[in-house]
Amino acid sequence: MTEIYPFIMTLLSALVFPGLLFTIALALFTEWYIRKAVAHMQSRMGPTYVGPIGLLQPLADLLKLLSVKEEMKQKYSMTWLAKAFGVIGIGAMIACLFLLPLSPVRFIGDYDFLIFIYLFGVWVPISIIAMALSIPNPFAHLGVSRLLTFIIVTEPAYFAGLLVPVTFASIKAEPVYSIYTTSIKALSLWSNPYYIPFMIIALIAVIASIQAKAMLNPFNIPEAEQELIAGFATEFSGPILAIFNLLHDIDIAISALFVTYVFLGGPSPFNHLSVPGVLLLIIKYIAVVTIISVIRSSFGRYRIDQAIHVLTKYSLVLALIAVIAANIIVYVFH
Amino acid sequence: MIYEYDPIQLTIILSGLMGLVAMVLYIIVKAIEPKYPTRSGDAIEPYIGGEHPSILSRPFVPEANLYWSFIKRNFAKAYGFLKEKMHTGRFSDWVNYMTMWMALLFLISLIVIIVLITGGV
Repeated sequence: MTEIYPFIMTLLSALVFPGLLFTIALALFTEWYIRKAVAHMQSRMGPTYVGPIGLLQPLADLLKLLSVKEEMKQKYSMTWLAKAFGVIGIGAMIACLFLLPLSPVRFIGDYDFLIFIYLFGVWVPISIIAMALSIPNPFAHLGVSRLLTFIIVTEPAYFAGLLVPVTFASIKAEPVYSIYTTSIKALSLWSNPYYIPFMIIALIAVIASIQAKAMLNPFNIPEAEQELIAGFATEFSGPILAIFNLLHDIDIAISALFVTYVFLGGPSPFNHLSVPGVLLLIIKYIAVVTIISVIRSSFGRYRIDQAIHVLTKYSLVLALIAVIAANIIVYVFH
Repeated sequence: MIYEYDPIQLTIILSGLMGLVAMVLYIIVKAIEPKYPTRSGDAIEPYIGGEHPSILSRPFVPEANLYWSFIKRNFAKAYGFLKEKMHTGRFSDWVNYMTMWMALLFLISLIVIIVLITGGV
C-alpha cells in the first residue's frame, strides 16, 4: 500500500492540484481578471453576464467552443494534429508546476531550471506553431513568421531574466540552479544591497518579455486582427479554438506564477498552508497580473520592427546585462 | 513530498507527466466535442480574405524575409560601424587597430595558458 501511495499522489497532483483542474481554473480567472481590469481602465464594463460579476464568462466561452460550436474542416487541414499539439503544449506547462513549492508532490534536482526551459521555452512555442501550420493558410503563415521573429528576442530575455535570482539563490544552497531553491530563498535576495539593482533590472526585463510572449498589447503583432485577420489563429474554430484559447491563457498564468515564485518568493515569509501565506501568494500574483493589464491597456500596437527594437532595448539587453553582472558578482564575492 | 533526482531522470519523469496530462486532456476534448456529420464533396477552401484562389499560385514575398531582413539589417549596421572605424585610410589607424587586436588575442591566450597551468583553480 505504501508503495502505491506516491503514484496516486503524483497522479492526483497532475490531474487536480496544481495540475489540470487547478491550472485551468487559474488560467480562466486570470483571463477574467485581465479583461475586467482592462475594461475598467478603458471605462467599459467587461464581462458581466455569466456568474457573479461575470466571473464565469471565460468558462462559458470555453465550454461553448468545446461542446457546441462546429469545427470547420478546411480542405488542407489536419485537425487532429492541431488538437494533439495544443494539448501537448498545455501538458508541458502543467508539468512545469511540479518544480514549484506550490505542488504537494515536488520533483527537484540540480539544474532543474534547464528542464523548465525545455518544457516551457521549447514545447510551448513549438505547439503553438505546429497548431497553426496544421491548418495551412496564408494569414497563419504570416502570423507564424511574426511569432518566430518574436521568439528570438523574448524567450532568451525571459529565461535570462529568471536566471538572475536563480544564480543568486544557488550560492551555498542545494540543489543548485533549481526553481525550488530559488522560490524558497527569493525574498531574502531582496535584502542584499548588492543584488537589488540586478533583481530590479531582471524583473523589468522579464515583465516586458511576458507581455510579448503572451502576445498582449503592445506586442499583439502575430495575431493583429486589422492586418492579418487573426494571424495564426485564422482557421481555428470550435474545439481547436477552445484549446488554443486555453493554451494562451495558461501561458499567461504560468509565466506570471513563475515570476511570483522566482522573484517574489511565493507565500514567503509565511507557509503555503497558512492563511496569511495563501493571501500573500494571491496578492503577489494579482500584482504581477495587474502590471501586465496596465501595460496592455496603456499602449497601442507597435509595428514589428518597432516592437523588436523596444524588446531588444528594454528586455533582452537588460536581461543579459543583469545575468552577466550577477555571475560576475557571484564569482568575485563567493 | 519532495523527490530529488538527477537532471536526466527529472527530464524523463516530467516529460512523462506532460504526456499523461496531454493524453487525459485529449480524451476529455474528444469526449465532449460535438459530433457533426462529416461533409463530403464541399470541402471548405482556406480563408484568404475573399480573394480568388488564383492569388495563392502567384509568387509572393516569402515569410522568412521578415526574419532575415531583421538579422541582415543589424549585421549590416555592425559591419558598417566596423568598416567606418577600421578603414579610415590612415596607416596609423590600421597599426592601432591591429595592435589592439593582437594585444587582445595575446591576453586571451595568456589567460588560457594560466588557467590550464593552474588547473582552473
